[in-house]
Amino acid sequence: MNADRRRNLGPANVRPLVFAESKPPAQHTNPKIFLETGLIQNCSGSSYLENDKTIIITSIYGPRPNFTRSFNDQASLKVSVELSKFLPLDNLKDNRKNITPDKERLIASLESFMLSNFQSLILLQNYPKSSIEIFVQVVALNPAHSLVYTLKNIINGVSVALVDSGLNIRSVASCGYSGSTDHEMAVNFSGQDEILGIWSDFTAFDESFDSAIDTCEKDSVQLRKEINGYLLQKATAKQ
Amino acid sequence: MVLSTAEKSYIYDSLAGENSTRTDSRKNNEFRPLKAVCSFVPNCNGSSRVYNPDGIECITSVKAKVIRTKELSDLINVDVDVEGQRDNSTLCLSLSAMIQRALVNNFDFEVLRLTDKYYFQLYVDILVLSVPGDFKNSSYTLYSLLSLISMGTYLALKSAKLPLLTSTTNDREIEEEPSFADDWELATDLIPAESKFQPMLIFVVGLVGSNVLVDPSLDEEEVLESGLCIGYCQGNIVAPIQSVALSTADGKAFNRKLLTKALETVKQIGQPVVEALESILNTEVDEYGSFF
Repeated sequence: MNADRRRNLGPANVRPLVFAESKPPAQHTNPKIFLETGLIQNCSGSSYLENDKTIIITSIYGPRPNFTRSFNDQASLKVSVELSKFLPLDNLKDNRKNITPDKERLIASLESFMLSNFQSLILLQNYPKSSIEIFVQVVALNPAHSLVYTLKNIINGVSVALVDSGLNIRSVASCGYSGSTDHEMAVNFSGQDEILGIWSDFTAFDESFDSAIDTCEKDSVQLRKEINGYLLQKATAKQ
Repeated sequence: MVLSTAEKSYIYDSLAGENSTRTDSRKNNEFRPLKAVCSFVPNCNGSSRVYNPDGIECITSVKAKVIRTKELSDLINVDVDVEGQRDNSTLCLSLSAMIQRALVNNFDFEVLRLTDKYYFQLYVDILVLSVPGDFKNSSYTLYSLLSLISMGTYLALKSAKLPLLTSTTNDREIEEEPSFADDWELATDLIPAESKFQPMLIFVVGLVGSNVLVDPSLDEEEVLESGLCIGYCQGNIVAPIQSVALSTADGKAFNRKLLTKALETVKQIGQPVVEALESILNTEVDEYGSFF
């Protein structure tokens, strides 16, 4: 076995091809959001959320009769997320290690996380033998937005659409975000110190974890204020 | 088991109270007895089989391949397959995504390094068998399997053996494809005993009332208010800390105190679980005889 295996290889000094823009742009977040509800006519509730070039459209159908099971004592909830074609998904990776996002898996993790959130928010017991479906469409995405930040936007969009749909919910939920170079966290609050869901990639569990939750809570309180203001304005304008 | 409304409310009341009583009279921080065997699949580098008393079992295999890469996150691939579920179902995809993300974020890639340019690439294939027949009609989900799967992955990674490298480890100057010894007796452990690095584990806890339940059983899951999966690695809580839907039923929000309690519970139970898994690894397996 003294064959020279070196000839199987190319020249020793080759380097892999690297494109100039392959690095994701630095993350910056502009908290300004634009909200509109009721744009889609044929569903029970819908919302349009725009934040810094990210556009998310949510539509909610239900309660509709459910024929899939013999008997349901409460509504079954379904969440579907659609990421439009040609979205810049490079930054929807984990922020520290460069995990290439497989689109299908990305959607599945978003869907299952949102399901756990909204199951605790909607009063499913009030709708026996029915199903409620939430459709989220990410139409445009700011390439600088990370997965967790996009998740926050999606959840807020769905919360507003839920109010628009008139389904029984516990409260207006709003999701706060806290991010730095080495960690990100999104916490969905339904009220003061009431957590509906948490997504965090903290590696250390110490004071910084607590302060990150504080940041999320502040962010969520601020957002809820804005959302409530908008909804109130919309409700009074109708009359 | 499909539970009636009355049964659910009975279980909920007994779990949510101050002195909670679980359906199988466990303590809140107690696991169900698990059985596990490792290195029983002959044609892969490492393997394990873990089973729950309710019959669900999880077979994990680790296979290694030599690749030349600079992209370290490519080195681990995870694929979860659940019996009776399509490959592209949300359950399979999100379990795979979660395990893969957790492993990549808490992995010491030095153990996979062969030379300056070559690495071992790992394929972790997970198969979940004997899913209860009433799964479609009950309100539990199978996300609680995360904890079983992560234990299977832990055992499979720790029992994985790699062939001994016979060529040089320094190929910065002169390129050479790595070559290995033919003799499997000389194989080295993927994670050497003296290595400080340990694979991570994911624990699934259920939250109900002001209680944190470790390793919820399927009938407990139907009444839980919310669920969390929490990563644990070498005495510390690590990413992911994430909500998971353990049932399709109505849930409730939880407060920060409960979140802290859940994290502390996992920190406490982590070490005993690791010790139990280590003792399984240390029991000698008669390679084919005892199992088949």
